[in-house]
Amino acid sequence: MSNQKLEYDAALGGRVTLPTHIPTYHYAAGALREIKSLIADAQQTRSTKLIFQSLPKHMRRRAMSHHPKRLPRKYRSAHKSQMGKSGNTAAIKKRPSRKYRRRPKNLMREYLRRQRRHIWLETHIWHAKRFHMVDRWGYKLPYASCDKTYRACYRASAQHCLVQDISFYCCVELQGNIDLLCAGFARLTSSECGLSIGAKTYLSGRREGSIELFRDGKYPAGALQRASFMWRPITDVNSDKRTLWLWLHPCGATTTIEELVQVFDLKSTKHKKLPLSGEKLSTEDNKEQPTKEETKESKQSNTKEQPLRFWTQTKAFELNRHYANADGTLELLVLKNSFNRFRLTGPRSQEVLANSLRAYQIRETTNSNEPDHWLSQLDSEQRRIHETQANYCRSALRLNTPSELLSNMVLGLNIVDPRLQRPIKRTKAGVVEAAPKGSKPAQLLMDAPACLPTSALWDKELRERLGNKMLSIHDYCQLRQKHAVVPGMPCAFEQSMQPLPVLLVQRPGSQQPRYKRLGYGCGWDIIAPARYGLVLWLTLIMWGARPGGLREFDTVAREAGAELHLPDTVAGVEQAATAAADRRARYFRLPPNKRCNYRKYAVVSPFSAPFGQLVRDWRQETDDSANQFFVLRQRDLLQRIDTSLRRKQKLPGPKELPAGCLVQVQLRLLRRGSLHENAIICLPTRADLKRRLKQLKRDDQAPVYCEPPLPDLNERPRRDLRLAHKRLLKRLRGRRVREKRKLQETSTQRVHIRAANTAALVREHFAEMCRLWLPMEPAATTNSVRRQCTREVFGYVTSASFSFTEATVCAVGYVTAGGLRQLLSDGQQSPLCLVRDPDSRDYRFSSLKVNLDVSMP
Amino acid sequence: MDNNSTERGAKPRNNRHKQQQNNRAHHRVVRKVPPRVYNDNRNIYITSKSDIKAQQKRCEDILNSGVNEIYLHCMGFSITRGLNLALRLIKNSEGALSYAINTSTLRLVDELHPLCDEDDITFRHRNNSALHIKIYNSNLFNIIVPKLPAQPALPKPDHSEDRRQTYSARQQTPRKPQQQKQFKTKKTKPTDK
Repeated sequence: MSNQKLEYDAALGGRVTLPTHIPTYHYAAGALREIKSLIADAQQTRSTKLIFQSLPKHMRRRAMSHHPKRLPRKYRSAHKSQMGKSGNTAAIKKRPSRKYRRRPKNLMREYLRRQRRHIWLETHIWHAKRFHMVDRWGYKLPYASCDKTYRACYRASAQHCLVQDISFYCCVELQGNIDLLCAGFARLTSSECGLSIGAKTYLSGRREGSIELFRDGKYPAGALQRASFMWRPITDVNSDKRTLWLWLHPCGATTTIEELVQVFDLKSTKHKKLPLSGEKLSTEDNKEQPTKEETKESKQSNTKEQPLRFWTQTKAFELNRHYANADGTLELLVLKNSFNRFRLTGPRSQEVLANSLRAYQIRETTNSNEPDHWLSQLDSEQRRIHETQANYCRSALRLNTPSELLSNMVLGLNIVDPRLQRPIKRTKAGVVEAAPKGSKPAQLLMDAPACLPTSALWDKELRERLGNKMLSIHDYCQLRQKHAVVPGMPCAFEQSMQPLPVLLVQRPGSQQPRYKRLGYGCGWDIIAPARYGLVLWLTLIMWGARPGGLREFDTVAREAGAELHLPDTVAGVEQAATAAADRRARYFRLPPNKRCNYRKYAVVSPFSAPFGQLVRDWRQETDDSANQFFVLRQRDLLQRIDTSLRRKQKLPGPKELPAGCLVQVQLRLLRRGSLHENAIICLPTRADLKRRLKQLKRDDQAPVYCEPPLPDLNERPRRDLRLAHKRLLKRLRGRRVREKRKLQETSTQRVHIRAANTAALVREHFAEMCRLWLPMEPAATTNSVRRQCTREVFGYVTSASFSFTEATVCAVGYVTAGGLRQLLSDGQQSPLCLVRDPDSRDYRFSSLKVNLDVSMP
Repeated sequence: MDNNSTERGAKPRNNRHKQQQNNRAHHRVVRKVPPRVYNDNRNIYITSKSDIKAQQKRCEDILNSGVNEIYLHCMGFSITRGLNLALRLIKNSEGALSYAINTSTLRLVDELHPLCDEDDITFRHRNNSALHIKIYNSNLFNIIVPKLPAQPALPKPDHSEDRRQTYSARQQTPRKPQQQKQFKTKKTKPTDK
């Protein structure tokens, strides 16, 4: 090979052999490696400095880190990414200016983007400025006002007028043969729960009814929801086709519609399978939609000859979902978001309505200046109906409270645009005019004309036309700006604004004077066509109605001694589950020394009411359906329970009163103390009653009995677990530190400690800790709910608070039939029960009353 | 706060529910809210469910605020309560208040809700006795009212007009504090307890 020479290298301190020649490819490969590493170094700086710090002095500018534009352009993107990583928002894309965002086009685009996930009501923007908004049932709904209005809303509902937007209720239109409809609904409900849908009192359409819906043939289990309905008054005497509106709560609406579709054997008309006849083979013919009669005929004829040849027609977009049965005798149309429904509660809603709704006056003269709208094309009969309705409404709204009128009455009315009826300033509505001496409320009640419920609102085309032809708020304001000489005075152009039909539905409020003050919660519902929501809402608000949110539904129901969603309905189950999750999350957000130890308090289920297990424990015999429970809705049975409670008689036997049923009761604390949701209702012992008498004598307000604290067996395991977990985390960290140190020894740059990656570990520990904190779930174990503490549990409270109508703490709860029977067999003076909050050990006495109108609101 | 048991001299509630049991098979009786003639703060409708002390305080507050007369309307079972309340007010006022009583019969309508599908809603008339007690300030002469051209002779039951005029009169004649009789000064313990 080559002869090697030894040379002296001072740097290495010895002799180094250097080759005399090298192969070029070795040299090139080395150079290449060197270049590569140089490029890599240049691309990825190892310096800990930021980009703007690494610039030479003469290129640096003041406040460079905040303004990327002061950097040379090629460094800007790198700078932005560096700033973004450090959480410095200055470098993140700037929010566009307010001026830009407020441009109508951009504002509208933003609104549409935000509506993609949740549907907005028409009054959404008004509410969003003033209310806490929550996501519920696919809508964005107002929960409660940002102001403190809890008590004010109660006052409004009791003495003035509370208005709530309930447009989220889903309206379902059913059209078909009346016998078919009644037979179908008979499968979904039971005659024990009250009048059926085809009762004579509802069929004329003059009253709104309500029915309990169950799954097909599953009564009494499988409750869906309570739905109110109204029949369209008979328009054509000859045909037996009738139309029905069913108002469904959005929580159970999809389930209910599915059930309706199944019961009536309906098919969606979105996808239609149409037969392919010989003439229609060309594509042009296929595009045309054949009329219904043709399709039916050709279908029948074709199914025999060529059963397999068809084509599918699919509608790309269906605003209102439409279903029909096979022979077209029954149709179902989901009229979601095509109405606005506002709920007015309180006696003053009369004045508010009388001021904000003015019946349209049809002028007799038919000159050319007469505005051309739908109301001017009426025939004489319809005009007469319109006049009658206007007169009746005027005198009905003069009464002192809505509950003096026929209960659940439906009243149609054609009114002028509500924008014309506003006061200049927000004022409390006063009495419009004194009632004339001759008119008596009894006459209004008994001699109501038959044409009252007739309304043009039932007409679908008219509703669409109304929405399209409506003068928008913006146009109205512009017109007023142009024409109004004196601010606030009426203008000439306002005469030509189109009238609109509305339906007023009376709600009678409390009808049991023994249970709750007569007429509490009475009011009106207004149903208005779509797009008129905000206009009407603002008029009502201007006349002094107090706006309320979802919270007010619960409070009004609780004050009335009822509950909005029963625990066995779809909505009730969902509500209980979300509330339980919320309470649980809140409990574990507290520091451990602020959490109450439910194991010590002998509370089995602190966050939800385990009705299934409660019913199971109260059952005499055990079978497979032991966990099934349902709320008792039979009025006559409830009446008998009520009388036997009041007169201390025996309850109906277990054959009539099955063990799986729950009775809704209103509890009332007799003395001091407060109640919350999920409190337990217990049977008192003889000693408790004696002690109560003693306390009454001494005027002692102390709780009648205190649950002795149980030892918590999990206390030690919890401590061990916590210590072990801490130790483990510490050990892992020590390991990482050592690893880092080791790396640092061999490296010239600064080495950072490795990320912990213990999230899974911590989560697992937290779950285990939660399990050790809480008592065992009653659903998972066979532990008794009935005998969870020293007193026997026979019910649970679902909503409780201080009640303004009763001036004490009141609660709505459910008790088992077996428990009631045992309570009565004790032979007390008046039936009293013990209640205890889940986070307290004190038992207090409360009286109980049976609610006869279950799910009244 | 069940005051029914403490009511003195009240006649017992009638046993109408026993009669109702006979026709329970056909319908359910639903009572309506009885009608009110006037709905302002001077007409007080008495209910036996409210606390009697609260009712008394309410009446005293209205009278002390310068209103010369109030009307207590009571019906049926609450007539006794109304009488008790009126007597208590007059007794506590030391002769400053007087009363006048009118009786009447109210014609009430009940709804009969059907219990089976074939029936329609029907109505029932029912009469109930009512009492209207006017409690007024008898020593009106204490207040010096200057002669005014538009001065009414005496307050009449037409309240809307009435109130306006008394208001204007009050504005024109600033009331002297010693002339205003405070009825709540002497609190006597109710003797009927």
